[in-house]
Amino acid sequence: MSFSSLLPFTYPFFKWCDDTWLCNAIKATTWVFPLTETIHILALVVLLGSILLVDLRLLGVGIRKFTPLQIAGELRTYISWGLGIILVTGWLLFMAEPLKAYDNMAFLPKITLLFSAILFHYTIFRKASSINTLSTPILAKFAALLSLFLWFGIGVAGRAIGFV
Amino acid sequence: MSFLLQFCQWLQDTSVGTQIRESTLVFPVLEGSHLLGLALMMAPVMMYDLRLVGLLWRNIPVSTVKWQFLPITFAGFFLMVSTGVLLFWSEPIKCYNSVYFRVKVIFLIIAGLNALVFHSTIDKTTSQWDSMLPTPTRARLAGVCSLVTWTMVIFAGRYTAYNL
Repeated sequence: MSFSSLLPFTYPFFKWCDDTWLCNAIKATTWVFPLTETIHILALVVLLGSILLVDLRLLGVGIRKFTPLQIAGELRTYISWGLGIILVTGWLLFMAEPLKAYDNMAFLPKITLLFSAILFHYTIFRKASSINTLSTPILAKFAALLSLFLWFGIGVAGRAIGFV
Repeated sequence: MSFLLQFCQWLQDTSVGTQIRESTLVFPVLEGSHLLGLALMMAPVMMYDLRLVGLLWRNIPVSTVKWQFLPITFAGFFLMVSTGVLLFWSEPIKCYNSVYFRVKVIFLIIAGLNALVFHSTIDKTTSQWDSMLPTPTRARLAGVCSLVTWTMVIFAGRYTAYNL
């Protein structure tokens, strides 16, 4: 499941990215990639960790003294900043090797999950995490499970990019 | 040959180490779990640290924040230590020779000492400053120290995996 096998018409875009000065500038150094990737991981800790805490609360696993809205409201800024930094560093990592991403079997699943997760997070999940009572309905628990699946799926697919 | 190197060599040659190292699935799964486990362990640590610093959960007593999040930290810590031990077991010689791994161990020790000192001194009197703002200087220092040292652990940990 790669862009090259499923969506070959996207090739010109990847090729164009590969020819930009940014791509060449990143390729010309050895230190930019590891540093960017490490910042990407620190942002992952903040973003994934914050969302995980909201998910656990919606599922009723720990943090029972706070309502979902209390946690989501307190962490909103951290989630936004985490997402912003992870997207910028992710874009830079992509720009370091666009053609490799084009052929990589984990990159297309990761991008698909990423867009789904962002869309889900700011629509249905936002509604679930605005519950301001200590008990949560079954639908909110389902939203939490879907949130876990989407965000951890991105993490798994992301790590897999380096292995497949 | 130093004792530590001899030990690493022996560990590397054990059947467990060899099997993990040569497995196509076990090593990536362990490394992926170690990476994503960061969110589970670090997010609740951050909540407590940021409360100690006075940046999050300002209206909630410190002891409440502590006991809502600490159990999740323990679960995350258990996951991180078990996957971490197995990862080290699979390539002890690489770790022994890596400057970044040594840096990681040093910061792990500092993080541990910080927690030990905090919990055996100022934390014991939490009931006296539970809702006080700003929090006592020593509590804020412990929070900042924890945030900085754990960030360094993650940084050095990621760099251990690069062959720089």
